[in-house]
Amino acid sequence: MNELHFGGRVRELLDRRLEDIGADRLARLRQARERALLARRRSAVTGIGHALLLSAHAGTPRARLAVAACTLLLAAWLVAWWHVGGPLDEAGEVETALLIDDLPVEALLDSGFQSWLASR
Amino acid sequence: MVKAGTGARALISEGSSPLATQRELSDFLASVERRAFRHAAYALRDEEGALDIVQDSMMKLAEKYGDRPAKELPMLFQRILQNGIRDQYRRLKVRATWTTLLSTLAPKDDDDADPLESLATENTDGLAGTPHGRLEQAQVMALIEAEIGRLPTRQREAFLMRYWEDMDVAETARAMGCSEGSVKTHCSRATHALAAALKAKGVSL
Repeated sequence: MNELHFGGRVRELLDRRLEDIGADRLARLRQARERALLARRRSAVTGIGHALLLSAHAGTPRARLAVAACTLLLAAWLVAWWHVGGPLDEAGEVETALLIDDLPVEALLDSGFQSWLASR
Repeated sequence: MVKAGTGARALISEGSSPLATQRELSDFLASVERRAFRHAAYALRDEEGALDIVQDSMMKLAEKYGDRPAKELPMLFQRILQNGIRDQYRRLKVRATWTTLLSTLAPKDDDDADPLESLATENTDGLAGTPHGRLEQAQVMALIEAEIGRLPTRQREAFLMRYWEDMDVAETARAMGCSEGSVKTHCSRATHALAAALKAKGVSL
């Protein structure tokens, strides 16, 4: 008897049975997943809070400031990474450029720029 | 939505990041939740208990191991799930011992219940073929599930992780906390036990 072949056949049949799980069970599984993802976000925030607390007990005031700044930068990076899963979109980059004065506000009055922005 | 039955390993291998992102964790949980539910239900024969264990396992994975590399998630999740199943099984065993002791004082009423009756299919409309063919297939599936439920715990764990979760021998061994040789032995015994049980009932795969 071929173990791999047998295992594959059993797997096919078990996979078919997954389609028979009732809607109420599937809803509970989805809720469980969403709760778990929320818990992960919370635990990450808690970790950052602990790091900030630790920074308050670091050596010199300059070291404390450096640790706190690094923690906040790391937190910002983590939030962006988890929510977006990659680089920020171009519309976000335009808003950032406006906020840091790399892009003049007058650009928004330019119809060509508006149509380019709308196409993004 | 991730298709049911998709190998978790194949899904995770697509991720290039060393640490699991929120999206990767979400996709992984979505891909594995239904199989995890069935796996727990086979072991415990209690769907409510199985749902609770899957929920707890997801929570533990997210809280304690959410910052681990994505490729480690299947192994970690299975380890948490199997521990949860074993803990619940022990609790049920203790409870059953007390129930048995107490039931000797009460009259018996359903000793002849067939375990296959409790595994009746919920919905077979989606199966192809004639009504007779669908019925036959549903019976085979119920039979396989019942036989998987009867396997010794370690054999069932190894068999389902290797052939249903698509985990390799090394990952399965890490999840089970045993050697690769033990995994191979458990799998081989499970396969032969299942094949023999099905053959005895006139079913061949």
